[in-house]
Amino acid sequence: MLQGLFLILVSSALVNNFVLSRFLGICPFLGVSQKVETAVSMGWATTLVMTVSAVVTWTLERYFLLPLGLEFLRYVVYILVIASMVQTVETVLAKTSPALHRSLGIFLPLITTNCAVLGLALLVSLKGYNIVEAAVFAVGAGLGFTLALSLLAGIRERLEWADIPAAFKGAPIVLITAGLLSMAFLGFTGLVAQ
Amino acid sequence: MALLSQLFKRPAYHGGVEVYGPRRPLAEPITRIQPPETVVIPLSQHIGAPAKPVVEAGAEVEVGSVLGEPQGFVSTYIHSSVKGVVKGLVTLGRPGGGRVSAVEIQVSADQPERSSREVDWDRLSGFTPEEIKDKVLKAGIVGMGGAGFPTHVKLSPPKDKPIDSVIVNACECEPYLAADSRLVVEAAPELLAGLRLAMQAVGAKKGYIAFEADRVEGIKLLRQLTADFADVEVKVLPPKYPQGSEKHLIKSVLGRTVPLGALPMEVGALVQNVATLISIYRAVLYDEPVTHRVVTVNGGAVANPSNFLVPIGVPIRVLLEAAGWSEEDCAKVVLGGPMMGKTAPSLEEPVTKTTSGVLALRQAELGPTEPSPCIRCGRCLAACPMGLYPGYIAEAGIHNDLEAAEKAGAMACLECGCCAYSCPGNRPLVQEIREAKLKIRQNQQERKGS
Amino acid sequence: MGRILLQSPGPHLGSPEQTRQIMWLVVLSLLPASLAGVYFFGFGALVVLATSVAAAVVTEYLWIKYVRGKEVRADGSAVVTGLLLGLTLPPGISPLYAFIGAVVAIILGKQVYGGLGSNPFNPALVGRTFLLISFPVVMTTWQAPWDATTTATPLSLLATGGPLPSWGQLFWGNVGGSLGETSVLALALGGLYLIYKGYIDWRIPTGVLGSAALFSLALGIPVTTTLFSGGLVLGAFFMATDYVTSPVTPAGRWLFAIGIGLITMVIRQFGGYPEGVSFAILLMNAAVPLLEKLTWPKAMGAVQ
Repeated sequence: MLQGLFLILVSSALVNNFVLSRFLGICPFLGVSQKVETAVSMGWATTLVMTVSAVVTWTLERYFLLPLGLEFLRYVVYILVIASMVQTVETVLAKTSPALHRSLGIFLPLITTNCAVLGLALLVSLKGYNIVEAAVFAVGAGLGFTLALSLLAGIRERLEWADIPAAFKGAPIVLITAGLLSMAFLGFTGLVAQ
Repeated sequence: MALLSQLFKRPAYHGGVEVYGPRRPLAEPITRIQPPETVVIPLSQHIGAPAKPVVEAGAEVEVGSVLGEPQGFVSTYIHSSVKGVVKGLVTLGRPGGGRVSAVEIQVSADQPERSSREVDWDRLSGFTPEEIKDKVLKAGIVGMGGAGFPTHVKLSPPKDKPIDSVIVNACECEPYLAADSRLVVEAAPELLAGLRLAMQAVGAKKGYIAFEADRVEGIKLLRQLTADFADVEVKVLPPKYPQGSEKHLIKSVLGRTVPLGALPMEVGALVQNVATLISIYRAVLYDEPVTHRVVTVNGGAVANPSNFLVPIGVPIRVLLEAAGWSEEDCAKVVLGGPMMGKTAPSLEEPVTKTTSGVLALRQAELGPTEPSPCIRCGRCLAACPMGLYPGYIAEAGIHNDLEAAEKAGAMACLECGCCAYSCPGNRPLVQEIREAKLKIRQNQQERKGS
Repeated sequence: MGRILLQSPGPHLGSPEQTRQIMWLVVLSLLPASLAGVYFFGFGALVVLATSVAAAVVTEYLWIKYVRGKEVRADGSAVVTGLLLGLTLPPGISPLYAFIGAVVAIILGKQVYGGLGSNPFNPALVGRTFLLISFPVVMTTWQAPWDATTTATPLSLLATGGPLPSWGQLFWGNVGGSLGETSVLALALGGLYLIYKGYIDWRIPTGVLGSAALFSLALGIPVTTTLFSGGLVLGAFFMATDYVTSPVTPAGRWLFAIGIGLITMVIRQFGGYPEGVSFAILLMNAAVPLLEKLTWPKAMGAVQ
């Protein structure tokens, strides 16, 4: 049982990293990765939202949508859940750490539209996980997201002082770096039999 | 042999570099230089406010006559080193930038002999700390290791920062130089007397004389002389630059770490240069002001590396000629040591209280200077005796990220040169960090002002 | 005196080492492995190596001169990249792939970031990995030494459970594998020389090989097989030790090296690829800025 959960964690964090393998959540990946500090905070916030949303949507799916034959409402329900979660996190953050709230800026409410969160919820139902597996899957996804974000942020901080050719400054070099990072993560292929 | 073991020991601090240079003229006895027709004596040879001139053109002066009086507490007297007639005031460019006023003196034909001083041990204990500090001020004594900090100020720490140990810097860690090492051998009793007076002035219980392990003669001599002293100890340290740096001496000798941004008095220590202490002795017992100093002339373009006793104000040209320098071979003239010394503005640059050496270096010694990109090899980080990452601070400075530079410890940098020396890319790290520090200081002042 | 004296900041002594000297000595230390590659795999190997080096040098020259419009300095770094890339390629491969790999390595792996010193990833490995994922079949077809028959590498044999060569064969190089990875002896000679001269930090090969060895011990795999097969030795001495893409702090270097050793073993044992060194190094390259933050030096006298 535990080994199975561990494999799910490794799979969602590394082997099928949401950002670098599934190419979900690219928006905050590129938008909040200028500084390591903000990247890590964004990562935690997203992980929190992902985990709670996964559990809540799983419960709603199992005990509400499926029994009542309302699968067609899935997208609407999932998005509502995610949006309210994000709003909660935003309010709590604004009270407890205003500086962090400010530095995350528009990207905090944008977690609502982060396809990684919705994608995660949908994948859970697709894979037919039970609630514990769903939670572990979500935590792994969040950790993988945080890892990818932090790695990119670390590199971007250093690139601030590099003599990058004018044509590549800004988005181009970040995208190239993201591509090379994805290439590196391919090394985890086959680590977990999917 | 105990000394040999020190040669292989690692220093008490992180980093530092083993600098390879030509041999120091440790065996060259100190010889006297006679002043030429004119000498030029700057009114600021120290940290703090320049001295106010108190002589005019035409005034007759003797060796030791006051030329300038201090302005403020962190300032000191300037004296004439020759017998002659004042020609007037001139303006000189300082090494490293800026200008300073100086007194130009026409040197008379008959110069008095400089007396050698016997140590009268009995009289030493008769001086109170106030008397000692007052005589030190009147004699115009400043840190003669190169920093030039007025010594009477250094001997007056605030009441809440008592000093328990005085350390003599007999390391002379800069390569090429031998002035202090020679002084130790030739004037050891005077050095000890000066140490005693310094200890008395601050109420210190213990005195240490710190040597780098290769100054065999000096170590032996001082060990003999201090054999009967319970409170003065000779310390032998591994020869690794910058062993003679204040904070690193304190770490090596006392095992204490001076907190970042604080002064040695914070940990109860006082460090003094050899020549400074000898000057203290002469000033207190014989009211003799600072008028001469020992200068090493060395370098690849010098035929006879020598140690000269020079009257202050003599142009370096005279010293170089006396040591047989080859002007064609010489690519650079440096005042002080090769690591922290400054290039001389001209050959007429006068010797001051803080001129420890004059180096005439050949191009081969200077090495390549064309900088290439930083390859993150980490040699600068490994070499920094303050435990900083100099390459990073320099990059931050270049990109004007002063916040990052300050956070990385720019203000803690000693500008010792270990980083730039180690850099395989020949990057001018010291210069870049210096510029960053300047901008940071300017910002700090602007913030204070507004 | 009319002479104007040179004014410049100190220190006024030449550095004991120069970048160019370090680069060329790395090239020198790779010669034993290159010669071993040619010895075992023939003239084709020489062509691959030569193409890789030439393509790297020319690409860098053209980029710096015409795209950036700057003076080109012959610092030897492109030669090192080309040589390292060549050594990681299968010996029987068509030189065309060596050419493509070198161009990608120099441009995407180094020049778009601003040239020497600015790249986050090891350029040779960027080129190699690019080739691996773009041309998987060509990049995994191996030759046996001295004849052109295709064979399996020791690592792929390990993965599939086939009979392994003896550790003596692995050490000497008489096995299938990449051009430069087979002769541990030749690689070790070069690598130890670099450590002796102080041109690479001993912590990194020790960390990589040490952690891989410990991992094998824990799993009951013979340590000599682990250490002597695949590109581990090549990676440990020549790729992971690249100054630009490894941490600048000693503690950071330890973490970096141990990470590489562990990830390599995880990929080898549990992953889909038989060899994991390239991926492991690229992954740890990405982590270098974070490792440096973690192990930032403490100034003397700084408060905790």
